Amino acid sequence: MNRRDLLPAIMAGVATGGAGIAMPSNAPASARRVRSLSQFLALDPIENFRQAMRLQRSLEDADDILHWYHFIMVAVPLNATPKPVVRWEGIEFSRHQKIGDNRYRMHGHNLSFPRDLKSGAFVAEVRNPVTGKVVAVPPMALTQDPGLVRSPYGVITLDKPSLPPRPDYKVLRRENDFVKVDGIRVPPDTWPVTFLEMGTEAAPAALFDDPSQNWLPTEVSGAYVFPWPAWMQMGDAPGHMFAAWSGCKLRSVDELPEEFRRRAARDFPELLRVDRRAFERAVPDLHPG
Amino acid sequence: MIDSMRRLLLTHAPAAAAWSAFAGPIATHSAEAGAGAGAGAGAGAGAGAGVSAADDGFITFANKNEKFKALFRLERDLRDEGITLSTYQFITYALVHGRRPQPIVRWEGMEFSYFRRISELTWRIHAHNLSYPRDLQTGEFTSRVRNPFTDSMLDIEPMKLLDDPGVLHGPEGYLPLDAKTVNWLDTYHVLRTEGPLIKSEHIRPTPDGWPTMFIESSCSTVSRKDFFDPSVTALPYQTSGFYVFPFPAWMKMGDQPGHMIGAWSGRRAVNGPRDLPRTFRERVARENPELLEPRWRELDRPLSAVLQQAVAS
Repeated sequence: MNRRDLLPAIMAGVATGGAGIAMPSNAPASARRVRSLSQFLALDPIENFRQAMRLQRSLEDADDILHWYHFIMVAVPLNATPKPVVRWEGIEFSRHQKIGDNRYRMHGHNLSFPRDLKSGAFVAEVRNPVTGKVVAVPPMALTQDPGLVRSPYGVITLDKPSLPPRPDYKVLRRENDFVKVDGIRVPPDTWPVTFLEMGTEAAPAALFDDPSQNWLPTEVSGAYVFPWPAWMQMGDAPGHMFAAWSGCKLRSVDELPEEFRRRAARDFPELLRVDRRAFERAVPDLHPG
Repeated sequence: MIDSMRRLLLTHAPAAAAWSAFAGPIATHSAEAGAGAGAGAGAGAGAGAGVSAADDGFITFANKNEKFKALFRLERDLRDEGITLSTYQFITYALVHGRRPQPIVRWEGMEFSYFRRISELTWRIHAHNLSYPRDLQTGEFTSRVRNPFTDSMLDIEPMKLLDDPGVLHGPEGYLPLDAKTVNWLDTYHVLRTEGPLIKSEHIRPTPDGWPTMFIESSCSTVSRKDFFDPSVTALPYQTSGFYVFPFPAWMKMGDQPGHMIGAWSGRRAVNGPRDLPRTFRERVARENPELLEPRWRELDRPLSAVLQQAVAS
């Protein structure tokens, strides 16, 4: 069962084996079987890592993981009212390879196109609501990711491979017909200080409970805090940006919305393809953790 | 109006919670373009009137009334009188200017709103909120957290928002019941289709001149099937979102520049209080059982002359 079939059924409380979490409120109460489950999953660190990996990516030894999302950027000037700036539609296309017991190496890239806040149409410029200036907003193609290694001990970013893993936060919980992982991404010390990323990924519990499913369909939401991008032309003004996204994990680029896929194929065709050559690069002095 | 906003800001209720009395996530409703089946069947649910929805894309409305009905149906209920209960967990983070942001504490909470139609397309809404702090790592209820910026342990209380003055909600926006002038507040709202799902994105900034550093952004998801079923007057939703707010007093941050962020994930408790998570519901029933009931008497207070005029016009 894929997302197209399963998630609406769960939303309506009629998923196979599921209880009614979301029956229309005007349905007779007596017709509903009420179950109100909210439970933190007490897993050992290795199982916590494996299940988070399964939700966020997959447990295959080698796989390509595609996330698609919309997100809206908000400017947060210090001691002033935050203001929405621009909508984006984008993908993160990443790949991983198992390099040891519960240890995976990952590489990926991102591609996002700006859209008008109101109409949703693709745009090339927006008004900076803080300065009032109209600024050019280029597409975001993030292709310089150095890669990382992830294990139950945490994350090693491969631009500093000899450093010990940084612990990260992943808490799993079951909420009725969904299993969710709340994650907080800890940036390396080399990143700008104003950075934080957090998110929640949710999969149908019926699939989560089937151990034969190495890849789970998920709905993803999250937010991140980051410094002013150059295109905002904020100079030395104190403050930062904030963006919140909502999207899902897809099986392949064939599932991308047509308009996005057409533009990506025209402007950045290489970013719709899987390129596993990064795994051929040796990583000298990789920390054993 | 500012005072009531400040109360919300300073008590830092999460979006789906505190704000929903003022500006819940708008949603949509109507017959699916080209499907015909729901068109004209919109009895009480606004179905059929001028909505178009591509397979994946943005949803447009014929007019603001239809858009409002869609919002109210997702966020509340199009019946003349109703309740909406939402349950959520959220994590709050501290962002100190020039320092790396840090997570502080997890919360589990609910917002309970109760509302009544007072004119053709305007409802009066009152609400209360309650959230309990939970340990970041274990998820257990807690009353102490560490502030990593001051390296001190802090006492932390449950959050109870019981002084909501109420709000009017209609096609023009939101009008708090303590408003001294008629100045409906509009917000940013977009609905879009994602295959089998409909997503409602709602950003609620504060107007210039209000207490600074507050914004709220939410994304609520409903099934397309429910969305285009005109018999459903209140849409079951899953919701996530984020909000920015000033340092609360219990953080004891003094004059340090910065702010907080809260990130939540939750859903409508479709079956009312019995649909709340068990441990949460049991704690509320033990400590504040009255908060598991709608406070209908709030709606007995007379509207000011200003608001009566706003409703009549």
